[in-house]
Parts: sequence; C-alpha cells; structure tokens
Amino acid sequence: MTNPRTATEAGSTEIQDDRAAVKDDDLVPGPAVDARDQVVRGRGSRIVGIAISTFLTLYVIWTLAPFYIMITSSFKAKGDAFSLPAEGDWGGAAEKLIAFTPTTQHYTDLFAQGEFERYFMNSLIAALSSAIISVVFGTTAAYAISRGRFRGKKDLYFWIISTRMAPVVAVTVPLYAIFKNFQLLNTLPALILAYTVFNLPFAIWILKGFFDAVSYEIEEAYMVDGHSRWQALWKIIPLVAPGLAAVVVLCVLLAWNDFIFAAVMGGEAAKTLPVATQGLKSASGIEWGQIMAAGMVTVAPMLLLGIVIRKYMVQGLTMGAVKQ
Amino acid sequence: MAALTFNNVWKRYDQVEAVKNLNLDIRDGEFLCLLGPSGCGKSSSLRMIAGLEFISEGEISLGGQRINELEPRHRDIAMVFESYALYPQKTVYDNMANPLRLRKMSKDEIDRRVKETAAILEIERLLGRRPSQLSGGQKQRVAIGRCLVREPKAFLFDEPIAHLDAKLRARMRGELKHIQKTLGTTTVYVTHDQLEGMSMADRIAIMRDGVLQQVATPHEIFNRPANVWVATFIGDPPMNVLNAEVQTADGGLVARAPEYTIAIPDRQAAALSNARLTDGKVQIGIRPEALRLSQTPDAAHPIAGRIYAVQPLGDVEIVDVRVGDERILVKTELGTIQNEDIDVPVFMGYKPEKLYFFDAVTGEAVYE
Repeated sequence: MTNPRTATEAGSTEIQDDRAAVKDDDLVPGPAVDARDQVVRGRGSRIVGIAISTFLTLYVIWTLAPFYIMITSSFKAKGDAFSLPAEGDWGGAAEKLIAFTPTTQHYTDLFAQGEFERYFMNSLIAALSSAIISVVFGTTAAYAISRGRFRGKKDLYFWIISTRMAPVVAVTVPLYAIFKNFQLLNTLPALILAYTVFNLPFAIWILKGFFDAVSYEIEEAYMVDGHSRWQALWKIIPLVAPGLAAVVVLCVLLAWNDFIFAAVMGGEAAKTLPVATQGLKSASGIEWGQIMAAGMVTVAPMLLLGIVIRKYMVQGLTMGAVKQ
Repeated sequence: MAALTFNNVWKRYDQVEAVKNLNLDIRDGEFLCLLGPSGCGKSSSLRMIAGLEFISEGEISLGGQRINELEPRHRDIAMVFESYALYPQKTVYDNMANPLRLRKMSKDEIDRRVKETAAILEIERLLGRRPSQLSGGQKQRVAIGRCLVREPKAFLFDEPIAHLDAKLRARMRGELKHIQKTLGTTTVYVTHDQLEGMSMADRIAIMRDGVLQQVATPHEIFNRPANVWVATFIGDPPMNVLNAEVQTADGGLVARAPEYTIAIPDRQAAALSNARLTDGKVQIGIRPEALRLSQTPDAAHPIAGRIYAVQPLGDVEIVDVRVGDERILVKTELGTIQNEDIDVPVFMGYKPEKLYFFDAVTGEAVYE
C-alpha cells in the first residue's frame, strides 16, 4: 500500500456507506415486476391458454354438477325430482334444472321424524374425538421421533406407517373380535378407537416431516432464553400449524366418510350419517329426496371445515418463507 | 458475569468420544475462543455449557457453582446460534423481549432495555420487522441483540458470523470485540476460523479430535505453538514443516535433509540433544514470512529450490518453491523475484531465531 492512512480512511467511509446500503436495500421487498409478465405472449401460448380454460371449465362442471343435482333434489318435491321433459324439449329440460317449487319437506322428515340429529352428533363426536386424539398424540410422537436420538428410530418410524399399509377390511374382523371382548361394540368409543388406529400413524408420519423442517436451534434458543422443554415445544407449534391443519382435515374426513367401521361396529347406538343414509333405502322403496338431503347434511360441515382451515394452511405456507 | 471452569469433562456419543478430559479455566470477563477444525469437539463443549448436551463425565461450574444438572433455562447464559435461530413468527422487538418477559420484568423496563440494545446494534429501525424481512447481517445483529438484552453470566457464540460474506465478517469481528470489551461479560466463542480467534480473543483454546492442544494468548499461540499441529493450524499461509535428522557437525548440531543442512542455533541445540528424539528425527518449522528469497546463490540464501508457482496478492506474493520432494511457501514483497517462470532456480534464506523444532514422532515443540 502506498499511502496506508488514506487507504484506511477511504475504506472506513466505504464501510459506513455499505452499512446504510444494507439497511435500505436488503429488506427483501419482493421483486417489483414479475419477470414472467414481461414475456411477450405469442399465438402458441394463447392456444394453450384457451385449451387450459376449456379444460378447467369442463372440470368444474364435472365436479360441481353432482353437487348441484344433490342440492336441488334435496329441495324438490318427489314429483318434481322425477318428472321428465318431453323428448326433444331442450328448453323444458333446462327449465327443470332451474325452476321448481322448493320444499324443506325432506329435511323435516330427516330431523323431525327420523333421528338424524342424533346420527349427526354421533358422526361429529366420532370424527372430532379421533382427530383430537390423533393430533395430540401424533404431535408428541412425531416430535419425539423428529428430535430424539435413540436406537431403532428408523425401524419404529417405518413400523408406525406400515400399520397403514393393510387394507381397512383386513383390520375390521380382528378389531370386531377385540371390541367384542372389551364390550365396546355398538358404542362411540369403539368407533373413535378404530378411527384413531388409522389416523394416528398418519398424523405422526405427516407431522414428523413438519417438525424436521423446523430448525432444532430455534427450540434450543427458547430453552436458553428461559423456557422449559415443554414450553419450547409449545412455542414451535405455530411453525407446524399447516401440518396440524392438514392432519385435522384428513383425520376428520377419514372418520366422517367412513362407512365400513360404523356399519360393522357402530350398531344403532353409534349410528353415523353414512350408515343412516344407507338406511333410507328400505324394502318399501328408496327415499331419494331424503337421501339427497342427508347428503347435504353430510357434505356441508366438511365444506365449512375446509373454508375455516384454509386460512391456517395459507398462513402456514407464508410462515415457511420465514425459516432460515 | 462469572468465571467458567471445565473439570475433567468428557462427552461421549455412543462410540464417539467428542471431548476428551477437558480442563479449562475461563476467567471472569474474558473473551475465550474455542478454535479447531470441524469435529474437534469445540461445539460439543459449548453446548455442554449451555446445557443443550449432557455432560458424560466431569464437571462444569459457572461462578463457582456446579451446573451439570441445571436445565438450560436456569443457567443464566445467553447464546447466539450458527443459524441465528430467530423466532420466525415474532417481530424483532418480540424476539429480543422474549427472554425478558420470562423474567417477569415490567413492560417499561423491557421496552427500555430492548431499545437501548437496539441502539447499540443500530437496529432500531428494524424492531417492527419479522426475521423473513431481514438480511443475513441484520438477522445476526438481532440474534446478538437477543443475547445482550439479558445481561447474563456468560455469552456463548457458536460460529455466529460464519455465514456472512467476507466484508461483513470483517466488520462484525470489530463490533463483537467492541461490544464484549464494553460489557465485560465472560464470552466463549466457537469458530473454525483462525482469523476470528486471533483477532478477537483474549485467549484461544485450540482443540483437535476432542483433545485440548493449547490455551494461550493469540500472540503466544502464534509465536510459541505447543506442537506442530497448532503451528500449522495458525497462520496463513501455514507454517512450512520440513523433515530432517539431527546430526553432530563441527562441534554443534545440524538438521540435515538430502537437499540442505540447517545449523541448529545454540539456544535450541541443548534442548534438542536433551529431547529424546526417535532416531534423531526432527521437524523444522518455518513460517512463510520468515523466509527470504534471492535468485542468486550466496551464503545468506543456502537452500536451493525451483519455482513451482507464484501467487501475487497485491502488496505481497506467495512463492511456492519445490525443494526435492517437498514444497515450501515463501511470503515475500512484490518484486523480489524478477523471473517468475516455472522451474527457475531460487535460493532461500532464513533467520535462525525464527526456526521452530518439533519432535517428529510426538509433534511436541522443542524450545530452549
């Protein structure tokens, strides 16, 4: 260096400037312009766009049409639901889809005359209980497997998920025998246990992945800051929230939609919505209107759950960006 | 603030012995650097102080009190992690306030402390942000801030600036040292970067394969390394180590290799003849900056070699010289060598007082 003093001075001012630059520029505001928007769209991409829109439109119709039919049919009088338009009368056919006199008769039949309120509560209790048990034990077990260092960890982990590999039917008979011995048949606890058998390994498996993604150092930082181990686990729960949301949805769905366990072990005392719906098909005929109404009663809470839980899933996704 | 003591401490994982019989006294208010390559046991040692690892054997005491059985939260130490480990869902302010809230401090006191610390670290403007909105350097400051607000008994740093770019690292070295000297808090700093240890620490503890090699001031570590491993670990470029045999000649001792003979200075000759060297085998250590180069042979430049490569570094250059089967690095001022072509003959001279001698078998340094 020819002149050390000026060199050092220049260096230090440069560092000062750099410090300011770091503060102002490194704040990650996100790119102002998305590079993809700047690509000039050619004719080829327009055709692709039309193709995609067409496909999506058809897909939406395909998915929603049954729902539409279910909703309208559940509010149609018996005669309306089965009246057919004259052959070739397309206008009449379209009119039949839209125009009818709505009636709540089927719903009244289900709840006032039938015992759907009780079946609904059975479904709700079985699904929520199993989901809660699976989330609580799934969280603690997944945490232990993710953080613990012990022999046979991989084998244990594989064994847990391997219990899900057997088909449901294969488990039904042995579970029936076991529940019979414990006098659990025809009770809600039987259903809750059966659902948990399937939900818990799944919960552990999903949540372990989410815990793995959270740096252990964050928990260690909590512990050094003054938290106990349990408190540290509690503190990182928000970071695995998307996993918990996914587990809750999937566990509730499995139990809510189950037919076979409820049909075999539930009996009359623990009858759930799917079994009750099936019961509407009797020797004297099929109550289509009531079946559609029952379908609505079954679907609506799950739609609601999806809407509520979506918020947490999205929140969780943005949280992922925070991880170092 | 408190002194920290390792007493015959061992750390074992299944088959691996990560820390072997560590004895170390860290003085009250001292900045001690645990230095060594990855896997040398320095991080395990630090984590045992924090309570994040169990102590397999021995005792660690903080301020005279045994802390082996204390949970991390009761040890009153603060730690900066390699990944910073900020709480992603909390703002910078809440990250820093977290340890204080646990201590049931009043809101005003927390607010005062957080703002004071933020001012020291120049992060006042970031207090409302979340970690995802910070750059690496800023995250690092926040992590340090979370430590400083607490006024703990000791600071623990685990490679805190390893992931910053070189320029920022150089600045943070100065700032960390300044902060530590200002607060006077006992500090243990783990790094694999000798530059960080040399530039910041009051004393350096060098570890290798779980064994403490030497504890000394940076100056002493550099000038009086305990063994050949420490000697070559510290210094950039590393010290040259040449194999030779000690022989008697003209009433004195010389170290002889096929290509050269080096006279052993009198002050070291006595020690070398007393040291029980196996078959007289010795290792000669000489730092690249203690060698001089010439392109003409003379008495002052007795070791002959050929240029292997020249690395210019602005004001100095590193000349890589081949001598027989060995290679010697020489740090010299730019322009010392006129002809830098490969295989051109060069001649090296040295100051006898800058020579180090090591037992070739044990690696221990032999001083007068």
